[in-house]
Amino acid sequence: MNIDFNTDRPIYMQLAEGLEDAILSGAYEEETQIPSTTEISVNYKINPATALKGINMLVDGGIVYKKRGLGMFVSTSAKEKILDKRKVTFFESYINTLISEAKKLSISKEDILIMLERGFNK
Amino acid sequence: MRLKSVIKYNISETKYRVLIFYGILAAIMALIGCSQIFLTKEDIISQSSGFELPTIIFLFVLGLNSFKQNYLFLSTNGITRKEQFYGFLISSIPIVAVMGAIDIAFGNILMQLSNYNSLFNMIYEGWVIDTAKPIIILVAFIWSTVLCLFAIVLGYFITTSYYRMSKMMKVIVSIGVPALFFNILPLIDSVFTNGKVLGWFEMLFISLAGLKNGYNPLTGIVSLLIGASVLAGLAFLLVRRAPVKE
Amino acid sequence: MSYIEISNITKTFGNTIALDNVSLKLDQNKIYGLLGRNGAGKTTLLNLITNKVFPTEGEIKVDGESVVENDKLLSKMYFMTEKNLYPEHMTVKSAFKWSKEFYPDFDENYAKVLSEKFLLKNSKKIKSLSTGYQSIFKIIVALSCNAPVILLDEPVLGLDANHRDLFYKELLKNYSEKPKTIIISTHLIEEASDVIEDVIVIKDGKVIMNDSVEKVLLQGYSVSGTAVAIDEFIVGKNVLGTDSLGGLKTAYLLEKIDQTTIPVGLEVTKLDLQKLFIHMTNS
Repeated sequence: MNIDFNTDRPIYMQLAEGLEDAILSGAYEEETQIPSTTEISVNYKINPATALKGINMLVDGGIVYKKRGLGMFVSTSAKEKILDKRKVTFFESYINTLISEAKKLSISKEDILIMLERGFNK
Repeated sequence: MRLKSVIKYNISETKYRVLIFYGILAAIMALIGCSQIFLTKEDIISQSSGFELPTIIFLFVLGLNSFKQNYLFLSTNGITRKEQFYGFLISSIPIVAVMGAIDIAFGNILMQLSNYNSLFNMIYEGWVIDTAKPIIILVAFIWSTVLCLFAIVLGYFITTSYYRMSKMMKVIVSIGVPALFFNILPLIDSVFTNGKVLGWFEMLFISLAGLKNGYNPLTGIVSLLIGASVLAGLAFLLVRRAPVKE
Repeated sequence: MSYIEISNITKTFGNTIALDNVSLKLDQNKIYGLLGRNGAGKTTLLNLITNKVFPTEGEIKVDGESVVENDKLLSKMYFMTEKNLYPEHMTVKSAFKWSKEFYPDFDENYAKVLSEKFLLKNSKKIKSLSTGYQSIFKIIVALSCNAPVILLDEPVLGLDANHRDLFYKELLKNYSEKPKTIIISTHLIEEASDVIEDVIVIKDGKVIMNDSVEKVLLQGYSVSGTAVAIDEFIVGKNVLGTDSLGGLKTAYLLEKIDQTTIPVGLEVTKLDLQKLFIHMTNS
């Protein structure tokens, strides 16, 4: 798992997203353990409270769960949940940005559609 | 309380300095011993009296060097000023007692071997003549120890005063105090008071040493003890609010 | 109740006011970043917390008690000073030995392990070490002494990139395993900004910020556009500073961003802690 933190959003959100990406990519299979707060904190040189907050976001989303005395584990339906959530946010985070940038550059709707076509056919 | 640790540290710091001091002293003694072979007895008498003096000077210098470095180090280790002060006093006692005892033992051996006369025996000559030897040794040991204590506390007091002074004050005191006692006071005394002030100082010194009416080493011991206590008290007032600075 | 309570502290040195009526409350077992420009009063504050110097006015309490000449409290704190206060002749090894004497919880094995990781030679005299290795030596004492409060003044001074990386990792490992109250004073803000939980900013002897890093970062942003548009936009807002480059102007603001009020044509960027700090402490 490799996360490049930037300043756009809080670190804990970026961490949660990085972990989700890792789960989607299969780096952490369902029902396997994810790194502990300490491991994450030390590895990325972030405050343990931040790391905990990131992991708690995943707990709240039902993506990971705590096994008492063992650590955090990826839930059975984690991938599905992440995909569902990402689809919801896709419009907001990608389409909206796309359209506002296109407007700035005076790219028409038709042009965007052509570009999309091209992108998918690659 | 980490007083025990402070004492342990102070003694371990001093141990090597004391050993070096005696090493040098032994070397000098050996040199004199060698020269004895070639010299006549009269020459030696004039050279070898009062070997306590180096010890006293050493302890005075030790006192001078007992503050700053220890203070910074012990403060870094979270030791309060009060504990540092008590640590200094308590660890000084075995040091001065051991050095006082060595001086006495050394002096007595020398007196057996040659015409050497110890500082104590010279000062309290009149008392020594009428007193039994074991008592002389005991009193000389106490006197020597208390004198050593006074020397180390005096050094400590001077160094702590300097530590608390501003640069300007240091210069004023360094020049002013010696000038006062060696130039200004004698000058005023000879011009205006006709030597009375210096005479008074002399009398005070003689009285404190217990030499006013005959010879009384006990008065000397008490005076030194009081002097050391006063200096220690003043040093404590200085250390109590000392800031850490380089 | 707060763990460290600094109440109305003023500290003067002759005519200079190092700290001016500073009040702060610090929680237990958090990592604080103490930021300020040179001479802002950071070291003085740390010196006061550990009673290395006495306040001119005010009081500092730790765990409900005044720190002044308090043996119990002073034995619970280790202040890693920027200057080396260890004796001239002392070796690293004997310094560890004495640390164990004065801080009974000092972990000699851990100190040895850390020395090996940092390649610190224990037989060397502390004063003969390079600036970087003197920092490393002091870091190791601070981490190994197991005091519940450790104050680090410029801990990464002279450390190369690898050693700085190692330092932050070891610090976080240590903190995760044995939580403690840590205050780091540093100029290298970018590196420390993710490590610290709360940030305290001092400027000219006054505390101008004391908040969680996360909250602070949510507040700071910069906005750029034409000078006219920017000047109009920033009216009535908490502006830290502005930059002009030709007709383009950038304003640095410290308040919660409201995306809906940003006029078209203005570019908004988030500020990181370092940028925010620079604009806050510019005179």
